[in-house]
Amino acid sequence: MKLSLDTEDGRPIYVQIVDEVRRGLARGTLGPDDPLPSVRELASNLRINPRTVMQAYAELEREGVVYVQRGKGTFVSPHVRPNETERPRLAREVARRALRDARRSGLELDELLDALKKLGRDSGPDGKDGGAE
Amino acid sequence: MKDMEFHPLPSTGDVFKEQTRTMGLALRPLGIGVAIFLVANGAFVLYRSLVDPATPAPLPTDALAWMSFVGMGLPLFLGRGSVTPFRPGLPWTLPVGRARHALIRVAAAWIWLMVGVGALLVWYVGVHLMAGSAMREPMLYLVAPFSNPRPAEPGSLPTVLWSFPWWIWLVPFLATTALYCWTSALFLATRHPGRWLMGTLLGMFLLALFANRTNFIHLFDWVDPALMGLLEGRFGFFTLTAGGAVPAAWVDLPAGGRMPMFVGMPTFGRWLVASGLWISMGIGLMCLAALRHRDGSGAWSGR
Amino acid sequence: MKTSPMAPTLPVNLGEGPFALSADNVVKRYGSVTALDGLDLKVPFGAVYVLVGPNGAGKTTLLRVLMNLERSSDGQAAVLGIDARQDGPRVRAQIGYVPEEHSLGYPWMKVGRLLDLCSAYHPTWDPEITARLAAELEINPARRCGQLSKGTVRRVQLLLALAHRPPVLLLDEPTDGLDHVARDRMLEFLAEYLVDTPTTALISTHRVYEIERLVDHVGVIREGRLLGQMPLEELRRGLRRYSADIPEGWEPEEWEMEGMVALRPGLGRSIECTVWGEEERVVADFAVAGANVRESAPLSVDEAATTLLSTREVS
Repeated sequence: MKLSLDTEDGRPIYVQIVDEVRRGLARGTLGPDDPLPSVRELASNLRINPRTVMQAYAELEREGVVYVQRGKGTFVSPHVRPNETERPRLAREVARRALRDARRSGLELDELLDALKKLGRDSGPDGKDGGAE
Repeated sequence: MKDMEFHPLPSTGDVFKEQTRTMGLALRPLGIGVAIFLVANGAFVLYRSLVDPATPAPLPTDALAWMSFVGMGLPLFLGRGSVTPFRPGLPWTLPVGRARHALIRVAAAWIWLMVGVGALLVWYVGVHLMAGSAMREPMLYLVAPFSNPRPAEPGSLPTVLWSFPWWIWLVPFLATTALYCWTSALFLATRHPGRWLMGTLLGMFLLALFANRTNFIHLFDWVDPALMGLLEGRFGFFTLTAGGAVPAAWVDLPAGGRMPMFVGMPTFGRWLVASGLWISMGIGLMCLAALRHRDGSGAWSGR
Repeated sequence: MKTSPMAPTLPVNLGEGPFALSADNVVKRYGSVTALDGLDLKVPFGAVYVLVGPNGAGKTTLLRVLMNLERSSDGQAAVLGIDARQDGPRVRAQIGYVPEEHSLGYPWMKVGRLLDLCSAYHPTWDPEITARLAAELEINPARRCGQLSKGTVRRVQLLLALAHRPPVLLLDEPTDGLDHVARDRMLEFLAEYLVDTPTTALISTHRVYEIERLVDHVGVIREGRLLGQMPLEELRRGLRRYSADIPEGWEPEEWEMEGMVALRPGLGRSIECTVWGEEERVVADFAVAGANVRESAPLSVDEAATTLLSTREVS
């Protein structure tokens, strides 16, 4: 898992890990029964406390996204349905961040929605900006 | 926490073994230097004996007495290093009590001291034997009693025919050990042992000077016999370092000629007791000095 | 603010215990100087506790008291339940210690020999982890200890601390003298080590940003006393930076709010205020004062420590 932690981000590290797993599922790079990195590997790669990794995996297990096999590791649940659960959850996270940003700038929800619609129309499916406004 | 498995402490034997290795490594440069000197000295003696094959001199057994000062030199050499219980250092963060650790280090260095003395002796005797020396023939000695070490009529003292006994070769080992223990005690007791040594010597010198100049013989009279007893007495310093076998004086005989004079007969028993006393006192002082470095004591805090 | 804000009352209670490391009202005086002034520090089992404070705050002295390298003038210090003063050697056998000074004790000795020496003192020495760490930390066993750079000495010290797999790590400025790469590597090994061996770690430093992600408990020390100690989540919850819009004619300098530790003017009529307290209460306090909180965010441990240490002592 290639993951760079955002130190400016207000979210706790374990939340960032959970979101990264969700992202993988939503994009299809992670599929059912795929193994997640071991606690040791991830903690070492990210230079973080192993308990943080365990906290993230525990959260995912609680939601039914992953399961733990003693001695073997953590795997994506075979019953996971990215379209039904992970994509909406991810969308919610993205929306939450956008809304927070908007509020910080003093914008109303309608203004944000208008801007999103316009941007979505102007830019293509690859997400590139359609042009400066 | 009672069911926790605590990490065990190292055994004293393991620590001693490890420190012996460390001391050996630390002393290697000194050992090499001494070896070079011995080889050079030996070569010189052999060369002289080949060039000038005159009557070979008897084995200079008097030199044995000077060997014991090597025992003083060792702590001085080691004391120059960075590891001392007076300063913070890696060895004191190890799981051994600091006082005990300091004593183990002293004991480990002692092993090498004995090795060194043995090597010195073997080399020394070997070289001289090869040069043709032999043990001195038995000689006549005057024997003065301990109660009157400087008799007015030496000529009337009893005489004895005496040659160097077998145990004279053991003297350097125990004498070196004794001096080593006393010097180590000093190095454990004070942060600046050199200053104390210098100070004591200076003090003694000044005292002698003062007594001499002011003719203050009262002070000196009291000190003199005590000092002489310590040096020449039955279990005194000369007994320790030479077995009592170095003559205290050479006496001019009324009939002509000179004869060496012992103060008390040098015997194995007397020497053994003297060594025992000096060594055990040295060890006692060492242990007392080590108390200063008890774990958690203030010997080095305050940097 | 004309004068620095007052230090808030921060939590110091971490519960009943038992604790892996504990200091109870520890006092240490050097003549007229008081290095530790009644320090109560507790580190739970398995915690990675960072002790932050300025130079001279007493961090090094505390670690030395725990290692029984110094005797406390008063109070008690214990490691895994063993009294540090009574049983120094046994305490040191349970600890992997990286001291503040960059010194390996024997300048003439080769590093490989030093490893052998230390292994004889620790029956639990692990030759496999030693070899692996030496390779990954790029430690050359043939070099003499006195010839090593500050950074290399630190790496050897870390190796010596980890090689016998101790249950407790006491690290005094572990990244001091290390370059970026070496620092990064050290954090990697520490993370791995925490997984492989059940360990409690107390890391003392005045530079937290390097090890923030490994930490789960924070203690802030100043002048020999703890300003506060708490789990990391509690710090994130309790100390937050609030961005607020303030009404016209409002003078922030004159304003005082319970738990405020820093105030910075924002653009125009807005402020950024760091406050210690429950978020709900703080937002309500702002509202009462007429300010509208737009956002609140937690601080990094580094920022939190800096802010708290900038406050005035409560007289």
